[in-house]
Amino acid sequence: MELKLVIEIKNKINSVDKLKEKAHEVEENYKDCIEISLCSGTGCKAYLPQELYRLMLEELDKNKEKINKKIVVHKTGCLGYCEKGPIIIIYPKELCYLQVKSEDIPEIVEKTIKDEVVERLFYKDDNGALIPKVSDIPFYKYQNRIILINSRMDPRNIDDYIRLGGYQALVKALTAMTPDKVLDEVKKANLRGRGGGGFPAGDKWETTKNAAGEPKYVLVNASEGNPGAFPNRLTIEGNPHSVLEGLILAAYAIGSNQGYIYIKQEYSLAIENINIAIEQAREYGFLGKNILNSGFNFEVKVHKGAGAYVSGESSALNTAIEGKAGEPRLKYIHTAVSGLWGKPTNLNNVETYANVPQIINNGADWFMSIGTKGSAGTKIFSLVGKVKNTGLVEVPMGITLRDIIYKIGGGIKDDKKFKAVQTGGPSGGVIPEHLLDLPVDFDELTKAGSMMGSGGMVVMDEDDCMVNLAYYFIKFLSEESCGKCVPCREGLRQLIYVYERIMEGKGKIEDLKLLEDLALVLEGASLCALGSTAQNIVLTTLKYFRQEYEAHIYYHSCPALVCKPLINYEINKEKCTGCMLCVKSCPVNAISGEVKKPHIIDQNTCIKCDACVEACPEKFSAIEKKTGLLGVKL
Amino acid sequence: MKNTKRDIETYKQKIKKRGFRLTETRMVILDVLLKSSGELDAEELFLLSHKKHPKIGMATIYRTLRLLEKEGLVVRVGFYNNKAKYRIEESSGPLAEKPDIRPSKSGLDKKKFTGDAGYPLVTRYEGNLEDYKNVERINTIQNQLSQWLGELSKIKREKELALEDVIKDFGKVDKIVSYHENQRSNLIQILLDVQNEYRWLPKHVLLYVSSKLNIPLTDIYSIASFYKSFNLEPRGKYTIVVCTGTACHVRRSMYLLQRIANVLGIKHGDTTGNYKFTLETVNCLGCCALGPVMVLNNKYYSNPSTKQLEKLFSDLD
Amino acid sequence: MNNENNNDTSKKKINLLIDNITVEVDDSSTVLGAANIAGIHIPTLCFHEKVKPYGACRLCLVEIEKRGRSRIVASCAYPVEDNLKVYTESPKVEAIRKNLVELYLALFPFHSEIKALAKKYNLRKTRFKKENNYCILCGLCVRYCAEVKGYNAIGFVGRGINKKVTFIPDSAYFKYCENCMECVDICPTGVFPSNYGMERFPQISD
Repeated sequence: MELKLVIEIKNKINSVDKLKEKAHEVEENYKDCIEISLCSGTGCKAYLPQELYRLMLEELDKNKEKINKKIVVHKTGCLGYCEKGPIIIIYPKELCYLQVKSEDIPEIVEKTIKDEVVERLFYKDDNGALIPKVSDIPFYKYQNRIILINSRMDPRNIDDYIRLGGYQALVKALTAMTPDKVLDEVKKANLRGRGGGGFPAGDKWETTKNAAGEPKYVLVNASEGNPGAFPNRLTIEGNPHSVLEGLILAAYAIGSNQGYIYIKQEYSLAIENINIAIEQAREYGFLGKNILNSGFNFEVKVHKGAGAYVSGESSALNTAIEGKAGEPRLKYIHTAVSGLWGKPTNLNNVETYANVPQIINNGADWFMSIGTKGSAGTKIFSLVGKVKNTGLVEVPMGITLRDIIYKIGGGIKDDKKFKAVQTGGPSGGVIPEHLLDLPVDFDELTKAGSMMGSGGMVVMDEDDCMVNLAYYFIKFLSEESCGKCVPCREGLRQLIYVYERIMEGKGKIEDLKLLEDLALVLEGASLCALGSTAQNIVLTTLKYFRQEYEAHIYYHSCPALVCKPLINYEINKEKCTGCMLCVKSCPVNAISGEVKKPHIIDQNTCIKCDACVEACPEKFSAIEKKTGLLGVKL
Repeated sequence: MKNTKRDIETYKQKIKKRGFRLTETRMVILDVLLKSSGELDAEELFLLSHKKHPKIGMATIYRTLRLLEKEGLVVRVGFYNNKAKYRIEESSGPLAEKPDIRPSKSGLDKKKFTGDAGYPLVTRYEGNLEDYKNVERINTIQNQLSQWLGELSKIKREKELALEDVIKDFGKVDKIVSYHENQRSNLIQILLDVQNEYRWLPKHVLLYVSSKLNIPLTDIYSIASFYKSFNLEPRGKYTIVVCTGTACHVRRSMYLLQRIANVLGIKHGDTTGNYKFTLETVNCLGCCALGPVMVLNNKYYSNPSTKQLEKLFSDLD
Repeated sequence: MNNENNNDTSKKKINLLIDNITVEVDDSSTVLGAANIAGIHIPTLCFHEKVKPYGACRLCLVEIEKRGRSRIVASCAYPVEDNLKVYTESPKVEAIRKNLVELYLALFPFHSEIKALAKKYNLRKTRFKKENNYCILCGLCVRYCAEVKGYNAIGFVGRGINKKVTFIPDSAYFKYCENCMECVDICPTGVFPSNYGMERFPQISD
């Protein structure tokens, strides 16, 4: 039977009917067909999806005679449930197999051909019950996946996208709507920028449209500097056409003919996929001259970013695309009025553009029915850290943080105690437990002192030190700052000194006021948003976890046992059986002892590298970390 | 032992002879230089002079030094590898004419900058000269190269020559530049491709790109040093990448870095002595479920233990 | 000479309020320029008439009020607008500037502007760790060399806290600078280029 491997080049699509015809044609191809979706995103890359794909094809080939239905294997983008990767979903029954290994493939193929299931690979909930259907699994149940419809499409095949309704919005807009109508629809839908600022996209488009100057440009911000967040990458890898379609729609509404996609050069798979998507869209006539016979021209180019967090800021991004060092400009003339080479430029995040086709297809009212009044639609978050279910989730706005972390995330790993959740990356802040019932909403999060950001959500438990976390972010910002203005550069430098003092146990009580004053300077005097949002992490950790700072200063102790200068590694004499494993593992020979006698760590030599903890067998667990002036564990 | 009084008089005469005013500040600076037994750098000179005469600022120091140097009364030594230091030029009689800048052990020789360096160049130009439209540009580059080599000390120069195999002719660079339409605004893309080709950004390649696209070298270096992905130093054969994004940090990526340091002896940003491994950190690979992640040779490893690391590194040759 | 046309529409006059004093200026002027005309002193460090405004020192911050909302902006770069209200010494600006001056005291306390401001705010010493860096990266030397002289002999390298100013390439000194050295006079701290800026640009490690 056919195994779909080759992408065929078809004729151009230049009318509504032709598109419908194409969609119908593709659907016919898949009729009565078993589709096997194999997650091949970068998140599962370590598990070698290439291997699994090859094995699957081999197995299917071996069992050729037994196959009586058409079987198609998709290599899809990320399916989101990274904790349990690799994932295979079988359609049309929506069966979901988790943590598939190469040894499981023959069995899966065999059972699928016979229309049976492999029960041991299903999701098991806490009571041991099996949940075969993907939409019933708690991780997916509470999500509302509008953009991440990755599971039934191969991102390198435009036909799959068309089958799921792709490019209908573009056709509708170019044949039945004027640019003003498209703009009005987006404005009405209250689509707010998903890059962090939450500025209404429709207003920005309008400003660009009305600004004087030609040519106008549209930019996609896929720089994703935020460490620990990857929603943009997975959207481009898994569903690149949605972004392209949104971009073309935006260009049509604004009156622009040239677009740029700024994407970080580390994302090699995403760059490949978007380039292929551009080529395929051009084949079908969705890009280039006279799209769909409407007289509208549009070209798009991919620009690789070379590794700078600050270049994700809108004026810095414009400067980077012009080929200079990506430093933010003085922003008294907005980039929407004077951006790339002085011309009006519209910049939006990947996710913002990805939402546009759905708005045009289903109308603004549909979009506003999801989410809250102030923030309509869904948002993609990368839920990472100490949760059981790490992965990529798309949730409607208004869902509480508690639901995301406990219902979708499954709660804290190893059932430890929740401490805080950090949103918005280095420019955001922490949210403690008593605020967990906050709805996810632009304004609510800003009120709490944090911000939505581009979608990073890091969960922390009792083993994470807030002082260390703030230090980590400030260190990150100090190296990523462009260094142009004094308050940001020197302010961050001085913040690092203060934090290092506190983490070494040399903090003074005045240091807390010093931190607040530095935060004031950063917020008020900085040139761009990097400096002014740097205060968020400092002020939120001070506000909600002041007792941790005080423990570091007054008691010279780190309650979470993280800050190296304040902890000691000690061997519990009762638990140590004298196996000598740690003695051998220590790189500085700080442990002394003989066989069958308890070992001792020399505190003066110990560099606190954790090698001994790794070496000590779990059943003994004899090495403990202690902190505090009297060596008492707090 | 110098007889300070006599010397100060001599120098005062010398300055007056050349028609310059002997201001109070100039006298103080001259005095400090004479009293010092060795060489001083500009900052030390400033601190000593400032104590005697608080009105002296760094600008005054520089202007005075420049003047004295021009007149041959002060000599600059130890130029390139350390901070410039100055000492009084001692001579028995009045100086008849302005001397050339004297070379010292690691100093520079002005003559070498006129073009005939006498040192072998790192790249030998291979191919048809007529292919390159502007022969002069090549000559300028070669002159600048010889200047550069003249600046390096002997050991460094040997290391440079040893890397000759990594560096071929400029044809590859030409191809890259013309692929990007010779556009200035595509500079970052060009540099990324050049780095993919050579594994780092050698100085003479940057010189070539600068002259081909007509961008001042200053701008190129500003951009190359601004972005993290550009390497201005040669890398090891294998690059070990450890993710230090927030998610991996919370899962203790610093312990992983420590384990690698225990095995290989390098911190992040360093290369091992035999140029085999380079350790780098990135901000997020997007595989947070595997954290802390290490990438080596295009394979992803989740929290490798010390034993696994030892085996991995020794398996690679 | 050209005949100046009094009805030249390109030179529109703008009225704005600075510290409750009405000032009339050309529409191409900045808030700082307007303040100078009115005789109001706004402290600056990285500003110079010969080069374009840069906005790095942040000492010239003022509070502006437009349509009921207030913002803190850098007056050396903000263009004048009709009926703009500017406050150079509002409580918010003073609070920010006081902390900023304290930061400068740790960097380069010898400048006359900084010393005057420190006296005004009664700051005798600074709680911050002394950097003694002297170069405040105001960019005047780089901009002067690029815009006025056109030599491009010096530039910034690095970013963030590792940013520096150096000669590129090192031999540029002999080509251009020996006969010029005008950047030495323009440097507000008087310290450029530290020993002629010969910080060795990272090459092959020794």
